[in-house]
Amino acid sequence: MTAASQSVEGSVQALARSLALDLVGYASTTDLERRLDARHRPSTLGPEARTVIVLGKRTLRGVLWAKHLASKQLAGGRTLRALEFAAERIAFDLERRGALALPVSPASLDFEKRTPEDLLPAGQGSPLLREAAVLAGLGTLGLNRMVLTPEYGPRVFFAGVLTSAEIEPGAELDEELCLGLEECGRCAAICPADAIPRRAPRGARLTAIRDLDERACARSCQPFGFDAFSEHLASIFEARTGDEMWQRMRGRKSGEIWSEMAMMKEAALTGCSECVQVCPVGRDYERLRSSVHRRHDLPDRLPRREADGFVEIENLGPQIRRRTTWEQERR
Amino acid sequence: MSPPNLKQDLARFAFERGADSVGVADVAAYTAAVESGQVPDYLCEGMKSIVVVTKHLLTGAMALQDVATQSTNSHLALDSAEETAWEIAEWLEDRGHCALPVSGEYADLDLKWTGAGLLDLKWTAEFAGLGHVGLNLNFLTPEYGSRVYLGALITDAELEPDAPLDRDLCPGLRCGRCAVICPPKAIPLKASKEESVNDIRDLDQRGCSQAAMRISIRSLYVVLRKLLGADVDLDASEVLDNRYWRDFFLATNSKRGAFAACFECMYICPVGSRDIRKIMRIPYRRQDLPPGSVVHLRGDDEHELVFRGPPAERDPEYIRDRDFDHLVHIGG
Repeated sequence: MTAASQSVEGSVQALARSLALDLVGYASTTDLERRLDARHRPSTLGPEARTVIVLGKRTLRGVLWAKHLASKQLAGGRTLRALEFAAERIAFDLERRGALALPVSPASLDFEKRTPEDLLPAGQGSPLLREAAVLAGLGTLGLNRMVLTPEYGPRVFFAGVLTSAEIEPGAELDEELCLGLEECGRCAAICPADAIPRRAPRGARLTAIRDLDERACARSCQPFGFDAFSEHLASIFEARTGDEMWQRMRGRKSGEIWSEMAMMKEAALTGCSECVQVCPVGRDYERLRSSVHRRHDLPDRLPRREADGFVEIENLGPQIRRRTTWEQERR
Repeated sequence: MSPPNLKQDLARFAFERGADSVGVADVAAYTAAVESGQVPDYLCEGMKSIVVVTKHLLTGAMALQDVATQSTNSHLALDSAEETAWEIAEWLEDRGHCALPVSGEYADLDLKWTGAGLLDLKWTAEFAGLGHVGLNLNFLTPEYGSRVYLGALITDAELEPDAPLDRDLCPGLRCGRCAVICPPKAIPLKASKEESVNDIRDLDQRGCSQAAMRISIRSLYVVLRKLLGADVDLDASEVLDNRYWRDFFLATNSKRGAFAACFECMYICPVGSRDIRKIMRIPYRRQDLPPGSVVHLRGDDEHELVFRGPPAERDPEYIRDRDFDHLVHIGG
């Protein structure tokens, strides 16, 4: 590692601490280019970049303790904004030192190459950011494709900075942190949209089964987001009478969608955190599971079936569901 | 109880982060005093204290003649109060506690079908000793009158609660300036002489929203209903080439005009040891309610004020529900 690289890393670390970030890591863009699908590669954003600086910010314990879904959603949006701000500050600092730098927002989308589903689950970060976090040694991918970290499990959001500065990349963790479907499966059991794999051949490796039904996850995680907006418009235009059209327009869903556009903003991407709250990985979990609401999320031993060489977890769902969900109104 | 200096340290941190004042309410005592469902347990059980901070509107911004631009400043103050609450929550968690920031802006449709705040922060702030809820249900502090916004969080830290103020800040109908200027007449103009401000303080929320949330989803319903129900042929270009749509885009994009967008009652509230004299030195503000313009009618039993409204040049901004009337031929 060169002295220049050490100096840049030192200044990034110091700035990150002052910006109340919880995790910082470094990944090489060359490695990421090899690891990612073409549409997610760093070169689609900034071809000059040599390093991705990954920035992580944890969710407040009080937010994880809470039962009020909108407060959790708002908190997620605020964390994304804080990360975006921090990424910009770090990028400016890098440019003052002579490097090129591009903040990578956790929430921005380019509909030409990417989709809202890329930011699932829980709005943790794009595939580029999540893969960079893994390469940087900040964590490993779980059953639901979230990054689980030793400190906070999946209870962390990511942003990044692409930079021309060369910084020594971190090393990937040696072992998977996720216990997988057979040993755990809690994220799959609680998922309101049943979007996480619940059935797998006995003994299957995590890498072979981790997955996410993105369309289903989006209905819970982006309940009044992009898809809900276009579906709602379609339903209004499909009304058979003017009165029916008015009723659909005047309904609660229009208010919820407008509230997400005007007030919640980034929180439109962070509407569900059920899988995040029940993940037993992370040094913060013991305290979290003992809180009033979290202790009733799931039984310690999940109902499961084993037959024909397969293991299947039952989907129990969360304690509290949104009163007006995308699916309920659709029906 | 948490370490005795925790509250002092918290207050010092809050002031460093830009809060004007900070107060604490006990969750159990506050819950016992609240009749609605807007209580901390609705958000998270197990919390012990509510921390409330205030942040004032920039006095320079009160000089603005343009109501829409004032709305931007208003949201900056609200965002600042919320940000301070967030930073306090992080500060508490760094010290081993749990904290949940409470949005002062989110309208919960489960609590009330037209939307209700998660905690009714004006009452929370009054309970935490930061000021007094005035005639129009605005929250007043001794330093900035009603020109403040509130941020809050709940925490499992047991902080020593503050006592409510031992005096009222709002003189009620004896002043009545907010009531006589309110564009939609949403503030009480009349009361029995026996009643104090605390007996009569009230707000016609629906009326207030017509001015304060005039470019919101409510206004969109009003406009669409009007256009869809028109019994005349509408020219699409005339419908689309209208200021309303630009304002609606702006309100959706930046909240300007959407939530906090009428300030008439704030401009003229005479309470505020730190700002009202400066505000009254602004020539434009002196025209809001010139001396002698608040007319009191005092009968044997009743005290009534004569409605006046805001200066005429600002009035059209508050009657945006009339947008498109000329196209659908309402009002000739």
